[in-house]
Amino acid sequence: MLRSLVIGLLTFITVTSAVAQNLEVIKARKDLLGDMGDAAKQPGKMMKQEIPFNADAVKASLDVFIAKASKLPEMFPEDSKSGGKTEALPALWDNKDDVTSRFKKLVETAKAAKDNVADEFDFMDTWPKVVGNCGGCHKKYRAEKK
Amino acid sequence: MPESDPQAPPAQPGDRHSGSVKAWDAPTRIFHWLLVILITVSWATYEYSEALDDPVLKWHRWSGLLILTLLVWRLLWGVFGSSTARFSNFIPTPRGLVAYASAIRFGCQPKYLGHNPLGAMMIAALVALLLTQAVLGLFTVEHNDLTAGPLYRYLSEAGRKAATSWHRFLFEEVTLWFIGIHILANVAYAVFRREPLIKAMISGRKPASDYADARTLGSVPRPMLRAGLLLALSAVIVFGGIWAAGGKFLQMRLW
Repeated sequence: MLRSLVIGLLTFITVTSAVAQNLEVIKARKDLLGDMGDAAKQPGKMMKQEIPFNADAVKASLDVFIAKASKLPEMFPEDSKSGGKTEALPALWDNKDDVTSRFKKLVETAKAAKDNVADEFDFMDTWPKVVGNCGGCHKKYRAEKK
Repeated sequence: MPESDPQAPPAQPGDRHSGSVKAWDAPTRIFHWLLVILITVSWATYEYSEALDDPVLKWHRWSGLLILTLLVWRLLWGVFGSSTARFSNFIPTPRGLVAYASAIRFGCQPKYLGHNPLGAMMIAALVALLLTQAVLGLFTVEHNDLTAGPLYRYLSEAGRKAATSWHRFLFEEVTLWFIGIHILANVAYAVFRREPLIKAMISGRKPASDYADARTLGSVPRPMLRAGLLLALSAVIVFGGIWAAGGKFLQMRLW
């Protein structure tokens, strides 16, 4: 009886600590991705001509992309495949090299874009190239939102 | 090219179309195959937008607008077109539909030069589904907020997200199934009933036979000219309607 209780308790502690670890990294990456989503909102409105073009606001958004996307390659460890309402699909872990290279490309594209958003016409050409990296990744590795 | 009368007597030996009768006019056939091409283009330009270097989905949106124009044309052609394309000639009554379905059970269903009652329901469903799909596309927003359908501003943010979600759901979970059933049914008719429906949608002709709908058939004069004028009217309805409603064609420049 005592032995069963100890085994049960140890199993519980092991499982809950693993889940807690998952939740931590999942929350961290969701925050990073959420920050990027928020940063994309103002330029998105500029793209759709809802608000006037503002080069400084676009550059600030690009800085957020550079900072957050640089951290993301490390945010998908093997023990973070489920839990915490993650939307990442299992295919992501089967294609980690592709995912990592996509984040690197996003950072590089965002860095290059900072020199190329001086006016609205450049912005209209450049911004889709930056955010297009997000779309390609979401299509392959993010669960469809209901 | 003049349209031959579906009610004309059987062709004589030596006739280029010996043993066949006109079933579908050229505009209906061109519509059908253009729609097939544009649906494929719409799917591919969304699915492979990254490979096509088209994050703003301009090809997908152009294709969607052309589909909407074609569907409006089909509605007009269903009123002003040749007999086998007219809704009044092929949309069955519930009783006619049940009678045809019952006849299939016993293998004694009549042949139709145009759509049979079950096929007619499939065509009506596909046109309705694709119309819904195309109209929803006018209100969708690309998920990275890069671009949007021309009328997206008429919906709230939640409404746009719902329209976008339905736009995708309808195609992947409903329309594709209907298209699959439509293709399978046509293949089945060719294999088991020896009715070359797919070939007829290419050549416009079916083998001469005792068709149940033969009495209602007839072609319209100058079908291509009439179809062209109706197509121009359809384009005015779609593009003019969007423009009149204050719609914005965002980043639609192709070159």
